[in-house]
Amino acid sequence: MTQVLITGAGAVSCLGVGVPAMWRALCAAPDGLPERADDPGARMPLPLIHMAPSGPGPGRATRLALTAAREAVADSGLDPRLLARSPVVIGTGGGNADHWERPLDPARPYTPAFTVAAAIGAEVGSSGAATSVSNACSAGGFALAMAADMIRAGEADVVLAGGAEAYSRVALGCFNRMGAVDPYACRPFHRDRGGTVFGEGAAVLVLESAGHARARGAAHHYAALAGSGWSCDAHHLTAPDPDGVQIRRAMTDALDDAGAAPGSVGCVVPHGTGTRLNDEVESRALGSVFGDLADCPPLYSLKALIGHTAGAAGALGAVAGALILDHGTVPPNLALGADRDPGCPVNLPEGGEEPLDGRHVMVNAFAFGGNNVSLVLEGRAA
Amino acid sequence: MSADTLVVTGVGAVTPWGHDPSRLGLDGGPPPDPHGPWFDVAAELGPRGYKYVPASCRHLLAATRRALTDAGDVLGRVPEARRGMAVGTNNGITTLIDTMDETVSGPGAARLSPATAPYFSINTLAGRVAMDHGIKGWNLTLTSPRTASLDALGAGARAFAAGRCDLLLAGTTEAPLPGRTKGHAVSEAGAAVLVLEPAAGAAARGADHYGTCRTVSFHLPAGAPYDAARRTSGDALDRLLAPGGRGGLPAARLISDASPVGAALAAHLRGLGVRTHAVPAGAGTLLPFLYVVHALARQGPPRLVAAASPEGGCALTLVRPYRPAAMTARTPDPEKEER
Repeated sequence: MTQVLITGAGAVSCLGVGVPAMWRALCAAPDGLPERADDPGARMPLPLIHMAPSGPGPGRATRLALTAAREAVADSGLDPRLLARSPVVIGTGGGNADHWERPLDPARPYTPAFTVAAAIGAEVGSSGAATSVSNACSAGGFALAMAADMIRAGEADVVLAGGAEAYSRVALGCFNRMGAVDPYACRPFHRDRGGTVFGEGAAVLVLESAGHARARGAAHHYAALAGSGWSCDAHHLTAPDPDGVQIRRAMTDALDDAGAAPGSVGCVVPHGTGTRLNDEVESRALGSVFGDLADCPPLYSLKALIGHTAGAAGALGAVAGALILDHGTVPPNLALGADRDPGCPVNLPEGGEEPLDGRHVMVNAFAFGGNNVSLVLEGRAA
Repeated sequence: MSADTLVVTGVGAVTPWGHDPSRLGLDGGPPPDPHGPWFDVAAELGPRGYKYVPASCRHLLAATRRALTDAGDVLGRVPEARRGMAVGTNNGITTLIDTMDETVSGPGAARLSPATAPYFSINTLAGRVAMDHGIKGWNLTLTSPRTASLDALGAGARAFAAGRCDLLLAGTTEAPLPGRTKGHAVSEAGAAVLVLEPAAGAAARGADHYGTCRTVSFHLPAGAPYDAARRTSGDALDRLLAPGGRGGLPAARLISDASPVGAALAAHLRGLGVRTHAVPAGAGTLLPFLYVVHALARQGPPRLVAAASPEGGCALTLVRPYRPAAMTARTPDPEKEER
């Protein structure tokens, strides 16, 4: 089967612009708190969010995505001519929410919200399809998996794929209404967690067939996207199925697709949002895949630093996973200490960086609508 | 046809043009009033349980039911974990978002309906369908401007080919834009769903089928040299027509607008020898899919359905009906047709 390599990466989040900045922040593990949205229309008790650096004007999700895409392309070292036929697949839950939220500019013609992928396609001048995937908080993960399938099917040698999400007043308002926002921070696996906290962000990866990368003399690849598993709870619009069967299947299918044994996984970047049931169900599902706590690989709880970036979450998780494999190091988690939820029996190392013990990293992304995707990344051979 | 070729065994549609997929008058001028009394939720879905479900979700639920009924006993033969669904939509929740935004920025989020709040996320439209029909394999929501419904066919077929499901539901749904929004005049409303399964599976259960459809999506970047853009369109056409090549080119319906992208694709197709009839696009992605559904349901010669968006997105779907002569569609319930 065609091997799919990650030969370029770009990221933007509250941690800053760029993959090097993201890695430095992951290693430093700053205890940053969310801010209140600078939006007089955000009439809700908890208008909390981690904002990402972006210039002013409409099309905020597109601007974040373009920042990440430009970095990824430059990082890959690809001659722009080699992108002329590359598809673009971008996951985004709400797209450019500012295209359809108030105040709407009466002078502006009708503009659809989901134009992020098309904007990247236009930026790189590609004739490959620009596909917008809107599987809510799993969209970025699905986008990467679909892109890998394109390469495996021989449809493309190179695909730009990832996710992007920007502030949405309506999304935040709905989470407030559903009581799903934590009043302090995004605190996955914390015993007092009260919901999640959104974050803005975007991540774009250059996925490339190993043959293409070799032929052009690619200088470096972070990891391979070795497999993915898809599932759907078909249980509830917003809550995960408590039995976790479909979440477990996404993980085991991803391992099978990658040809990886559970014991080869050295780290999991969990979905881990800080919502009560979500973290409990994922913890149990992880246990059913990897065994007792002693056998469970360490988790790297990314959302504790950047918040829940929704449609970008799976893609930012994949960037974190690729960096973990590239550096051979698992960054420290924000310390929960005695506040860790005993109902979430996961391996959450604290205190310092740990060497990665395993050739694979799993990335989970789950969502409203019961949409689940797991990715398995594979490190370079020793 | 190989055993693993996807064939369409069920067709369902609920639209202002009517609910009989073989009799949709799509070429008869502007779309009917999407706000009109064309959809009877109680007749389609029952008297209870859908009060807080957005219109586009109701449409999708109804079209799915019709398609599955049309397909016969297919769900019972495919485990839940082997069922996949891909749905394309652009404006399925646009009016809902607008209404919610008025509430959030006015009286405040506390006044939002908790029953409706989950639908701020556009993938819950298909998620609700998955709940009704045990679609646990996977569920994709595609939202690329105008091409999303055809993209759903392509993405679904790719996932099937990758071994991710044994049964595919592909569809689309739209709801009217808010009245004060530019584009409202060309709002779309309605939904359509196709049931696709491998030819061998359909044959094994003795199911008739409508034919096949394949999709290729691509992008025409603004400012691309004419020759390069035309080569892109030609390559897409060749990928669709392979292995038979361009002999006997099917006629095309191109759903587009007055944008340069639409004009370019029309010129390319005509330059490649495709008889192309341009159809004014609606605001969303419904119309291209309805042309696919209609071509399958009424049978006849192969047809090409094309869509282009001002943002550069393009898609071509080749529909190959199974029978060259017109056949009676199995879907419509005459009583419902009269409502």
